[in-house]
Amino acid sequence: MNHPPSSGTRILIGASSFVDARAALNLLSRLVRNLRPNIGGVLVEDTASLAICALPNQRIVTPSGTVALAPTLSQIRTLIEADARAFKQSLARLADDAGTPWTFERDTGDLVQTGLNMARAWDILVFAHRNLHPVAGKVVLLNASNATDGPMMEMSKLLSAHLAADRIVLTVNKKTRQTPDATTSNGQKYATLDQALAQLARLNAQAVLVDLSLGPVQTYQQLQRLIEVARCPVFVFGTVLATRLVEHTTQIPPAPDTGAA
Amino acid sequence: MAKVAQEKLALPDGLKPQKLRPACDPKTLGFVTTDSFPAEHDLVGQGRAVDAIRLSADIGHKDFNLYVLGQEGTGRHTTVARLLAQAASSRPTPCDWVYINNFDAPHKPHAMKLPSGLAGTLRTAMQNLVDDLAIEIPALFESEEYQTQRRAIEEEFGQRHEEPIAEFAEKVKEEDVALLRTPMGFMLAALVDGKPIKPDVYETLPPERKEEIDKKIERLQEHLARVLRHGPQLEKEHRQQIETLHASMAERVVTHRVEEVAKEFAQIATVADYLEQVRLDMISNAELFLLSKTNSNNGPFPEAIRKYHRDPHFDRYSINIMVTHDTGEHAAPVITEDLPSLNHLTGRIEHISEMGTLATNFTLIKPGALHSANGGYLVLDAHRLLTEPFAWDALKRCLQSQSITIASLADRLSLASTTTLEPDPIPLDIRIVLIGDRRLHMLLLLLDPEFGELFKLQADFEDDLDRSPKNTRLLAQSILSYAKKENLRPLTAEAVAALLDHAVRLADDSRKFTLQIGMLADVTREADHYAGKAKQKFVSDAHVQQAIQEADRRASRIKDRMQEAMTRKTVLIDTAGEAVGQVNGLSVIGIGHHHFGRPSRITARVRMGSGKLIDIEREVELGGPLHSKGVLILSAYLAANYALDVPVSLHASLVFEQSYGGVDGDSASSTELYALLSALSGVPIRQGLAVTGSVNQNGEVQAIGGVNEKIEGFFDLCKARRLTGEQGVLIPVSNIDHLMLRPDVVHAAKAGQFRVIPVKTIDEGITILTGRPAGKRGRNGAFPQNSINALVEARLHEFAETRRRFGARTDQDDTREEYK
Repeated sequence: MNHPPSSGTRILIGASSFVDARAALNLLSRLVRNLRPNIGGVLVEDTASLAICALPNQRIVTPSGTVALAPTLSQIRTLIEADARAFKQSLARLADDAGTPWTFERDTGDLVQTGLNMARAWDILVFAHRNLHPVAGKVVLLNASNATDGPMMEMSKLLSAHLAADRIVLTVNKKTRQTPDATTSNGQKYATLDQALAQLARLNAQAVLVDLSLGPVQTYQQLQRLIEVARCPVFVFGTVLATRLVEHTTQIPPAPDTGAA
Repeated sequence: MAKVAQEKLALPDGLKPQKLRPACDPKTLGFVTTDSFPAEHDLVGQGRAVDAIRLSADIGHKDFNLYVLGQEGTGRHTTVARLLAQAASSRPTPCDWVYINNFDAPHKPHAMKLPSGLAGTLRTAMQNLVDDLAIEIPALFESEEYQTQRRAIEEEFGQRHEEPIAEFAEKVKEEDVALLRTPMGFMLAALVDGKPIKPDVYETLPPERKEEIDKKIERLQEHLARVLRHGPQLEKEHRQQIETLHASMAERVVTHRVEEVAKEFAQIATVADYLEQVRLDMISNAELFLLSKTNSNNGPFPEAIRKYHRDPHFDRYSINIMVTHDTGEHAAPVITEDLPSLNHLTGRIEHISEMGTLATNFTLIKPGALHSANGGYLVLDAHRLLTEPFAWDALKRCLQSQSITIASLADRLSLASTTTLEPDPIPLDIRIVLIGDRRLHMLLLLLDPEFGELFKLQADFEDDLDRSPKNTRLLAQSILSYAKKENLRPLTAEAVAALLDHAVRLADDSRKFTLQIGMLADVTREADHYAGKAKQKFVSDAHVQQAIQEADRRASRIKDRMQEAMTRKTVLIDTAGEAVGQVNGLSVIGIGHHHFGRPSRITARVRMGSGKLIDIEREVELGGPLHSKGVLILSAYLAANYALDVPVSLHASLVFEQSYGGVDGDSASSTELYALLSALSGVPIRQGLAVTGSVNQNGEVQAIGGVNEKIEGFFDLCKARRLTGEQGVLIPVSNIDHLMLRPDVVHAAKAGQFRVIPVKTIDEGITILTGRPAGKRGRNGAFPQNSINALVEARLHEFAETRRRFGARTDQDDTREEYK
């Protein structure tokens, strides 16, 4: 099958499990034919989760609301191996569909940290999160300015069109006057990031977009908080500034070569 | 054996020529050529059958189905078709029948009755309804009104899902607990210095602190579990609200469109009920119309004129027409089914392959002949019907239940195990006409008790017609009517007379005409062909004779080979001179419609014996039972008429010389008796004569069949060798009425070259054959001296005496032996 040439956009999906990654892959599957990005995936074994499995009487709450015994370390490892295979195969299928190259890696540690470490080689970093319910939500932009164009805006419009979802812009501006945004059909302004995140926590969102170069998210903790309250895939732009958010003692590995893994 | 030279009696003259061929006089027909006559009805002599057909066609009560029996070519099919068409034209046009979907139980489709001719209109209306809704419903779901309401629902439920989770997340944060995602679900852990507690740190905590943490984690786990368990309930409410929205949106447009259709069929209650079910189903399955929009391949035709009703998922709204009468003809149907298999009669349910299995639905029900003929008449060939597996049984069931039930052959034989349908049976009001032969009719009456109950009427077609002046004219009219119908040339009166003569010949009775009109029709058409080749405007008797002769010639190869064998003396048959104990017998060989006579030499040999008469044909199992019966009868005649005062001391044998095929029938029993009398008397028999006729125990010569062919067979042999004027055939007197010989035989008889001599008794026959009187027993109990009978009796006495002396000598020898 002949494909038009790749747009050159590089998108990295970071996830700590396949169920999280799947939600992000589903979103991207709507865009690949248009965007034809170079796709990458990284599965990060969350050391914190692994550690607390070993706590005595630890329980796990399944998505159906059942409380069960937490898996053993070996069970967790088995699951992670299966997740890695599934993530890799899905990535390959998605990339083959679009006729674009793809990469896949594994790492351990903190998801956000690892993602930021790798971000310099990528244009968009997607922190994956599983769908907690089937009701499709909005596409939310977290903005610090009134900018109406740029790669994040374009991506939000693309997502909104393909997902048939409303787009809402949460603008964080100290000088906010609580007036509706003139350029988007639905916009809200907040004086602080915390206010915006408090609103985001109660919004039904299916994708959140933020640009590190534009703000309002500028620290690691803010990004982590954003990911927590979004409870959906978070698309991070301005990744060249990602290293600023990384703890400066961390070694930044060189960017991997593009091509099928 | 006494050998007394005696003057032979002369051969009698035989029957007059006019008796040999009582031909039809063209002058009595009342016309010169047929072109001046109008074509009238062409059926003659079948009043009995016609009345039966008319009764069956008109009577309204059930089970008066009809069996039409008779020979091929007597006009059964044509007559049935004509009379049923007449009856059907005065009957009302039956209603239409369709199958519709049963929305509650799709495997049990409903049958719906409609006024005649309306099924197609309803089907088109439903197709248009689907096409219209397939455009309007998707447009409705793209409308701003729907989108707004849908978004509001999504918003509400999205909120209702997110709120509890958000609250939980805040609570967890407040209580210094981390919520972690794992491949299997969520885990909670206390935070220490902003990070989830590690096991080694946990172990160092004091017990009360551990307990506090454990209780908090457990509480929060239960809280999270409750939140997640509530999700499916919210999803269900969400779905229900969406469905309610869809239904309310669809209801408006569906109701409007269905009401438009309902107005068109306002007078029909069944259609109104059906449309209400369709309306409700369309409302609850509005997504079907969205699917068709989604699957549209945007081909060359714009969507406005695309035939959405052809998509398989709209089959549920189809109308499957079983039978419709929309041609405008106001008459009951008359259907002839040439292949009356089970499927062709009762219909069938087809299947299609889906994902490796066979599936079906009500649109795959196909009608059969019973559906097409419902309300009218169905004509079937009896033999074909009975040879089709399960067809006869199915037909009887349908007639008994007065409904059409569709069953497949595979189902009946339990060969197929697949989803199938149980459609409503369609009420059946029909008259069945079976056409078959007499034997089949008799077998059905004897062996099938249901047959007589269901087929109460029989139309028995006559094989022949009395040869009266009225019938002669009627048959002539029938011939001319046929000629006009087939666009043949007009026939001369002589040609018609020749055809009538042929009809007599085919009837094998000079007082009858055959009613196998088909055979006459064949000759007429062939004669027309010859007239055409000769560029004649009329068909003459010469053309008719040509057709008859050519037909005979085409079938005569075997006859000619047999005659060749006789003329070349490969098969020994004498046609002149005389011989003792040897007579020319006559048999008929038939192949299809062609029969011909074949002379056979019959010989008898006698000697003293113990009273045994050997029929050699029977001994080697070449003689059939009727032949054996004839031989036993003649031997009983012999035993009862001669030498009654002594035991029968005869050993005789009879045989058909050079006959290697089977022999049956008793038409040669008089011939065999003559041979025996000649052998016993020692008086030779004239070999220029041939004999046919059966004999009874009284010595009376009885009628036989095929008399014309037998006479002609011997005539042909004599003619091939040369007619001597001393040749002829002895026939029973009772066969005179069956004579319709060929013109050449009649000419020879007229010229005194050949005779046909009728005889009544054996004595008459032996007198002619030997030229010596048979003799009648006098008052003294003796036959006249030197008469045939006297010689026979003398011979038998001689045998008895020889046997007595032999017996006495044997006793003496035995006694002498004893005294030694």
